[in-house]
Amino acid sequence: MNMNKNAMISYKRYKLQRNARKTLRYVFAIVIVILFLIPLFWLILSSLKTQTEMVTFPPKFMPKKFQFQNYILAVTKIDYLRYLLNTIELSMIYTVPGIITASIFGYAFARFHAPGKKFFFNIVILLLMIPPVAVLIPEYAFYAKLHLINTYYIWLLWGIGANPLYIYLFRQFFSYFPKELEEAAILDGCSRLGVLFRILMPLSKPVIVTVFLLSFLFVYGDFMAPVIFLSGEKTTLAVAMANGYVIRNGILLVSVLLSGIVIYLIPVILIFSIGQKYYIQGLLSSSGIKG
Amino acid sequence: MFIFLNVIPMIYSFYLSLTSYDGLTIPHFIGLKNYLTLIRDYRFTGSLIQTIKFTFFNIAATLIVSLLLANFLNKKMKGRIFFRSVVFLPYAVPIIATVFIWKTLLNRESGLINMFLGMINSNLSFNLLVNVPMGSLITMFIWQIGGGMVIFLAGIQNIPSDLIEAAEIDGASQFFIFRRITIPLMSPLIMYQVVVGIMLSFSVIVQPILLTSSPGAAFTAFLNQQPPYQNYFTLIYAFQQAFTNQSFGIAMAATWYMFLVMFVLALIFLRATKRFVYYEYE
Repeated sequence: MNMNKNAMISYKRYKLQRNARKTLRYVFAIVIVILFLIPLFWLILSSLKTQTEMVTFPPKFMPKKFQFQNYILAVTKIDYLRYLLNTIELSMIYTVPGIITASIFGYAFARFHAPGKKFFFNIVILLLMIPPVAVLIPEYAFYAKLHLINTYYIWLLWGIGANPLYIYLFRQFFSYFPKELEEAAILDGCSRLGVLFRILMPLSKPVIVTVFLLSFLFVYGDFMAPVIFLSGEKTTLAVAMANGYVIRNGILLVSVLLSGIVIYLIPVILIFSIGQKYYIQGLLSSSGIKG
Repeated sequence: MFIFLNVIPMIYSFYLSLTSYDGLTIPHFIGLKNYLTLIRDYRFTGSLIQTIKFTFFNIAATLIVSLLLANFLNKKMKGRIFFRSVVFLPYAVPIIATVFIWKTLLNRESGLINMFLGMINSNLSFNLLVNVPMGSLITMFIWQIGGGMVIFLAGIQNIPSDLIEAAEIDGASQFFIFRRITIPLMSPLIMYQVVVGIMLSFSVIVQPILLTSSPGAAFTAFLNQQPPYQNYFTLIYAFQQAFTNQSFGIAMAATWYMFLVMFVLALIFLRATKRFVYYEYE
């Protein structure tokens, strides 16, 4: 009897401990969520403050009055829509050919047996290790010779040139496909490219979405390449915003800039929340962690 | 093979590094002179040292945080998916937005931390961007940890659950499990992340310039902005040489030095950790 009682007590204590640990876990999770969301929250709050509130110490938590006109000023002070369309156009110019060529290369690396294939694949891996930003300087000298500065052809060339990371992702994804499917199609008289575009591509939605997201977000958020290659009205939203919200005596309209950034972030967050599931799936199945 | 579109600029850049090229005239071949000039330039060597320091701290910080976060977010709880996507979300925020968000957040006049300090005492304030520039920069990268965390998360989910259950039955503490099972089994992934981290840390250029540039300065002269010396990285040096001083040869030589250092770091790292890495198929 006595022993039973003891057991009851220790079971209760165990349960209590487990509950305490569980609560602690949630508290911790909520703290993490707050820490990760504070910057975005602060961005929105700051974008609604006046210029004076932004530059006087000590900072206040809430703006005295919500300055919604900051948003109107943000889209009218610079030609917001034009730069946004520029950015999207540029992203598409890079992304669409990029997916096509990367998938062709990836397929070739996954299936064909050509001499020197291993050597070329090693080059791809090596190129993965090279910071893309560092290559911009020689590329500038190179494209200046071809008179391509301040045109969008540069992005088209990059797209056709295919980013090594995307080639790698496609290659990994394709190499898990059962070969029987392709062999059957080839027996039925389908060409190699036909196999790729009619059979493999419709089945590889996760990796396509992954590459699309990666490259779209890359161009959308890129700063260095447009700064160097584009000027004037051709530039992207990121550069235009960093340049645009300065008034005559060189003062930056901080809260207007932040409003501009809020609008700039909306498409990213939309695309991201739609594609996130595929993105994680595609990244994992391609990186070989989860076959 | 279209891969040559990627390789040609590299070869061209190596050729340019051996010449004196100012972007207008015909490049003159001058051999290794650029490389020798660079070694004697204290600004270049200083920037290289700062870059290596930054790489080290950045990788250490992001690795530890993303491992711990991945381990934590793998635990069973309600709303786990939501927590994961919140941590993952900042990863998609573009560079410009990130920089200005953190600039506002850490600033003396508009920052959150200084708001709390100002509540305590109106004389108390830190300008974190000026006092700890590298720390501010790394905090920003920790915020964007999502990509690395997802990979670790997948790695943790791949750990066979019977291993962990066996350890739990034997009475191992959570920390012990993390230290003795999770980390050794994840070591190939950690290696991968470190090597990628070296590459990413060396390619940082926009963030340090914009983070500490004075708010009113005209951005047209974007590359002329001088970040504090702690954040003056080799790539910034190279870009300034190329686009401000018009000496492409020196800029190319600087980037090739940088590649060399990167590969040496990666090799040293791979050699040093060879013993600790666990491969399933060995």
